Amino acid sequence: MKNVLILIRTNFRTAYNSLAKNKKLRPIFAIGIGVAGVVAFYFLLKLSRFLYNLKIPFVDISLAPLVLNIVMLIAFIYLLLGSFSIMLSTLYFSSDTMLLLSLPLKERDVFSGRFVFTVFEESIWLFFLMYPFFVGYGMINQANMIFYAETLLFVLLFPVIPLAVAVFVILPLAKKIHPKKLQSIIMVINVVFGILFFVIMQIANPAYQIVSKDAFANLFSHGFSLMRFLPTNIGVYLTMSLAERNILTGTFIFTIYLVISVGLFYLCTLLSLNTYKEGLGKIRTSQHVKIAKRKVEKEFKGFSFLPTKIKAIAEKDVKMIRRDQKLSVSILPIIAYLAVFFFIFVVVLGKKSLGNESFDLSSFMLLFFFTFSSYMASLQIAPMLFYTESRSVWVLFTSKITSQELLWSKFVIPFLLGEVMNALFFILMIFVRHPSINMILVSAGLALFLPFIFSTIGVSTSAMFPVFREVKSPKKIIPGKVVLIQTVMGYAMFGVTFGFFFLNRLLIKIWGGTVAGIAIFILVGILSFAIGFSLMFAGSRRLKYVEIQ
Amino acid sequence: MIETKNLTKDFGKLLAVNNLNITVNSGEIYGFLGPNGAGKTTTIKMLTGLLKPTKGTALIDGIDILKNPIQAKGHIGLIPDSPMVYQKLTGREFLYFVADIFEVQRDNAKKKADEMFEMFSLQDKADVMIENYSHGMRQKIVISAALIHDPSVLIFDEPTVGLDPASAKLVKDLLRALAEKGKTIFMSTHILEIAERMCDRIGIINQGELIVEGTIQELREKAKDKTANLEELFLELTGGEDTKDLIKFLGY
Repeated sequence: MKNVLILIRTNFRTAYNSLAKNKKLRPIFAIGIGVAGVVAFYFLLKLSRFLYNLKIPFVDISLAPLVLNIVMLIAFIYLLLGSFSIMLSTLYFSSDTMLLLSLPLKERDVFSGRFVFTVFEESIWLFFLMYPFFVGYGMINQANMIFYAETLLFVLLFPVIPLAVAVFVILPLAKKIHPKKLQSIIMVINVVFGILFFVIMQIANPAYQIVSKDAFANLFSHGFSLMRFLPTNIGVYLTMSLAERNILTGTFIFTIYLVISVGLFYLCTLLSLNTYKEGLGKIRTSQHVKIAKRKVEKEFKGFSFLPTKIKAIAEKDVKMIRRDQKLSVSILPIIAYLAVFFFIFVVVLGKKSLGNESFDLSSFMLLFFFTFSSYMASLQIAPMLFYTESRSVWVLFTSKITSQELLWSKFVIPFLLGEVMNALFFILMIFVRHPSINMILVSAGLALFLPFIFSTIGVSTSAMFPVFREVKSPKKIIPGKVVLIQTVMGYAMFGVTFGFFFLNRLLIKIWGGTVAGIAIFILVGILSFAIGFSLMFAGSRRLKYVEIQ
Repeated sequence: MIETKNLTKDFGKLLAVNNLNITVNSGEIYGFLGPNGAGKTTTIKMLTGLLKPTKGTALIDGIDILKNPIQAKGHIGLIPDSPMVYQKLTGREFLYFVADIFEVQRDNAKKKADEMFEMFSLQDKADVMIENYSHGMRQKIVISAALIHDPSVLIFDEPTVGLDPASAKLVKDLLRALAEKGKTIFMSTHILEIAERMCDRIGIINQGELIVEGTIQELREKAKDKTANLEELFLELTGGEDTKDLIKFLGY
């Protein structure tokens, strides 16, 4: 027990120290996070009180228990889905795992320390995002202090069940399957589930009229009747009992919940006795597993048209994407999202008419989609490829490669990916929408040139804030400043697209559709090259010297 | 040939390297020694163009690393202390990649890579991904990559770290053979026995200043101790004598 407490204390210290490198800034960051949490708490409290005051028309039934249940259900599903990845990386891929196991500590203590700290980490955001709904419920029911105290403890213990479920699945599986492989499987399942969930939500959305309102209402009423059996209902029973001042009943329910949580935690620690060590052992012996199972892959020779040095780096990046599951898994959802958005923006919304002649929604959606597609395919990939160099970047910086060549080599893949995606959607768009010549020319301009501009934005802004250190995923080292600048530039490009849309309408009136289309095509090209080359020049100037951490 | 001219680097208040002036001639092995944090790695980073000096410059085969970095880098092969390389490439792919960015013809690169694999007994691991290599194997692949473009200047940061005794011996022999071929070798190391046996000249840096430079005999003369070995000289010159007293006090 003493060792578990030492581990938890060390985890707290590490988490606090990682807030900022500068010691003096840490309390400021901690206070900042606290203030942000309190602000979120305040607004969610307001929202909860607004929702609780809603009534079902005609029958005068309060929606409060349903709202509370939905909030808990969302948190539960989110935690359950995330807990598999969280527990797997916490238990098997923490950088200090091997160090801890070399110390005179039992695996069970290491496991317990990690589990309790993870529960605490998850509880923090639940306190700020979920607890306001309990407080709001207490306020409208004028509940006493016992209500607030017991519901707070309920919220703090809320992550135990989903995390325990994840542990029950992961520990035995990691004994059989290599944890890295398991991580990839979980990642793919999460992505597939996320996309499916999104698609189902879109199909169920009454605005698109894919499913009839009656069928949707029928589905909802059946779903509603099933809600009483959901695990989060225990929270609703607890809250309602305490709010009605049935302290004994409420405390009894809470005690059952507490026993379940502690019991599950105990079972997890028991399970860890036989399984945790073996899973970790697999990581230590990973070399042999990988060498034996490596498949022969076809050599990629698609960049033979490029200069030697740029080709070498681009081909190396292709190999990294193909072989690094974290990179390839990051690209796949982008393609899937684009397919979904194509369906929504071009196929569904593209058919809609707002009944307003000055704004042609159908045409606007086509332009909007190609901006969005270029943004997703090019701007999302470019920084990842840049930062994926991590500490190996010394190879490039001590070689004969110029910073210009390095940047252009990082430009190749996001640009080509954007072009391929846009070409595919452009052909689909022609068949689905049968657009006018003008629209074909304007869309072609955006589809052709925007990947250029978005790729240069992605590469050059990354080069302006170079960070080269060893991380498990390049996504984790993309600096906040880069994300912010790229997001702002992304939005600016959407604004520019909006401008092109209206400029096109104006030019059609003056020159007619075809000439207007050609003019816009040329204009987009000139603008893209002017901005793109300037940014790459600026990025390469910044990248002459780097700090490899 | 390597020549530094008043090479200086400060990180704000910290003066990491101060007015360093050294010359390493062709065919010479130069040992660059110093305690932890003395400025050795900072010097190597400036020599290889990874870090911009605050003042001064370095010439590689007469080419200014600040004015013509790409041309100068073409003459350098660097072996860093931690062999961080692309994990998802195989050893062979990594060597071909380095050969490409140094613009070595593929036929030459293939020949050279095969020689390296054979020399370091890595033939059966050539097509295995680097993430599966041991530390020593990675060090070997980094050394191979540094040699693939046949550079005239080789900069080693701890050349034998992580290598087994046989490979360490091989690297030492290789260094000697390369020096005999006329290559300039700049080597930073903590293993004083290697420096003493292999280096033609030694420079000792402490707190960013080059405190002494010369052959081992010259160092002995400067320390006025004609029988001292390099370890004793090093400790005396870098203030490590205190450590010896502490060890004596503890009874070891």
